[in-house]
Amino acid sequence: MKVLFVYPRFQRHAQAHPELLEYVPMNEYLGSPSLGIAALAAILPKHWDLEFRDDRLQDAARPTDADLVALSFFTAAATRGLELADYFRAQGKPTVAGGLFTTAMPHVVMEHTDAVVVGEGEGAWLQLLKDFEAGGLQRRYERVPVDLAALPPPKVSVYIDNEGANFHPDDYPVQLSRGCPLACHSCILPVSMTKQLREFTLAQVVTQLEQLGSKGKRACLTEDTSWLPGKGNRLLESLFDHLIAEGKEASVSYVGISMPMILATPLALLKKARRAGVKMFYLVGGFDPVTMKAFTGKDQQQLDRAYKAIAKCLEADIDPYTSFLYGQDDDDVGTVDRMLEFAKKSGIRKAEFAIFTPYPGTPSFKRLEAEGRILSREWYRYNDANCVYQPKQLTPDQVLQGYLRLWREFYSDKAYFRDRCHDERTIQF
Amino acid sequence: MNAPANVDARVIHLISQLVPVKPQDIKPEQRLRDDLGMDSVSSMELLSMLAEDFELDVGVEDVADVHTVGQTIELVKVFLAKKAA
Ligand code: B12
Ligand code: SF4
Repeated sequence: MKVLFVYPRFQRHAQAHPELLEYVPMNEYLGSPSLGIAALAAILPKHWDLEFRDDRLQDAARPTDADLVALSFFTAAATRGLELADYFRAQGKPTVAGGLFTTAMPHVVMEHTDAVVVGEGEGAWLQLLKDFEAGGLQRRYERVPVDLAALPPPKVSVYIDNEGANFHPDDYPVQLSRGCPLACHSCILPVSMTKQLREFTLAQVVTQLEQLGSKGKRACLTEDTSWLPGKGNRLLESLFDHLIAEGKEASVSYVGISMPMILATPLALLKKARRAGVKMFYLVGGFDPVTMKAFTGKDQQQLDRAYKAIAKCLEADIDPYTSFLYGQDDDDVGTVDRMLEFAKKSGIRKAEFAIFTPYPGTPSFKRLEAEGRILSREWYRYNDANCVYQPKQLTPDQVLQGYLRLWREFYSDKAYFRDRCHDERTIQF
Repeated sequence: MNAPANVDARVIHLISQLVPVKPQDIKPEQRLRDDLGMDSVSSMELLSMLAEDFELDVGVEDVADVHTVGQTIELVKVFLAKKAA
């Protein structure tokens, strides 16, 4: 038996708006796929072979000798994912899909596939394979509770073996936990991975870091939930202790975080992160009460706290690579200037700019849909580079123009990045 | 400003740093979310502030049933008692 895993392509910022390549003196970074396919590959029964196609690198719509085609995609890749599903089914291949978009919109995906898997996939995937072998594939599989401690590490070698001249990421994601008890309005993770914070063991995390290290790769610790007080940050701290004790400072490229998490984390833990080799945070904005209010011109308390958060990173000597989200209901045209002023005064060196996007499956999507404010269901435009809904104080075109101006003006005095080393000048855009 | 000494006042003082409401207007019966406008992320922040300020080992997993100012004060008292035991 053989399964073909397919990772459909999507548009990154510079693909959606090629003019960004003129303004932004940084390398475009083609990141790793989500760990979804690697996680399923790791538990594939022994009598199954696998092939992997990354549609970003080579058109995946090619004939295959696989018995089963398994697509994994998030919303930005959904238009292409459904197109590929149609292609493989037209070739007579049984085709199944999972991932964030399928979790949010199973009814849409089912029209194009033989089966869908909703939510965290490992348990349902094994059942699906059994049913397929027995000739009884069901139309829809729901999440089966997964014991994280029993999972093997994701088989990231599937991706690494597929690297080529134009695709050789420096780092691959490593998860410390899954699930989140919080409820940010634009995040799907509490739905897809449940509201319960469940950690991997330190040994599982260390194994992944070592596997990546042996291939010359670093780990990006993508989950901001790693900073949650309690179970979350206890594991993170023990990982830092381990890295310091082993002298493995170069093994982590960045850690995901948000401003409230920076403010909530004791400075001593941030400094420990630095000693463990963490030189950069991927500081995601727009989901939390600090960054949603700080640039509205109406909330001095949150603006002060935003300054405090950046100052705290700099005090810990960790570079806050900051993601600004523009175009939410409280934003107006002045928000662009306020963000630029903040970035300059606070000392942010690297930033990315994104357009608020209500992803299906999130509380925002539900609310905006009920209010009749969803303007587009072309899923490929759901990539943080297009305005797909009707904001309160701005037109969609004002949002787009503001977003382009943010990129242009933030980088207008940073041409020096062009001469910097690869590490310094690499961002995702 | 110095933090107040008793538990109730200290908890209220910490809450007032997260919401645009003065300490004297924060009452035990108020709900963190509906009355004070806190969302789940600001409650997480409050939790860390409590952990640091009172030196408690309390995590997000311990606060699923905490919704009001009064319940927050109670939580701190329970954890302080545990610490003292
Ligand atoms: C790594 C990562 C990336 C990578 C890879 C993208 C990808 N395809 O996911 C890169 C760097 C490319 C990326 C980019 C972006 N990302 Co991103 N990213 C992540 C991150 C941090 C980790 C993904 C991961 O490895 N997850 C772990 C795996 C195990 O989970 P999973 O993919 O869901 O897979 C499980 C199940 O879904 C299921 N499953 C998945 N596929 C399949 C297939 C089958 C057949 C079956 C049976 C089951 C199954 O089983 C898996 C195991 O349980 C997530 C946050 C997160 N924790 O998921 C955000 C996330 C996916 N990203 C997000 C966003 C918004 C973006 C950007 C738009 C950000 C931006 N500002 O530009 C861009 C994309 C567009 C652009 N303009 O460039 C959102 C997704 C929104 C949505 N609902 O679709 C997330 C969820 C962040 C968030 N909290 O909102 N990202
Ligand atoms: S953005 Fe982070 S903190 Fe908020 S719900 Fe998603 S995972 Fe949780």
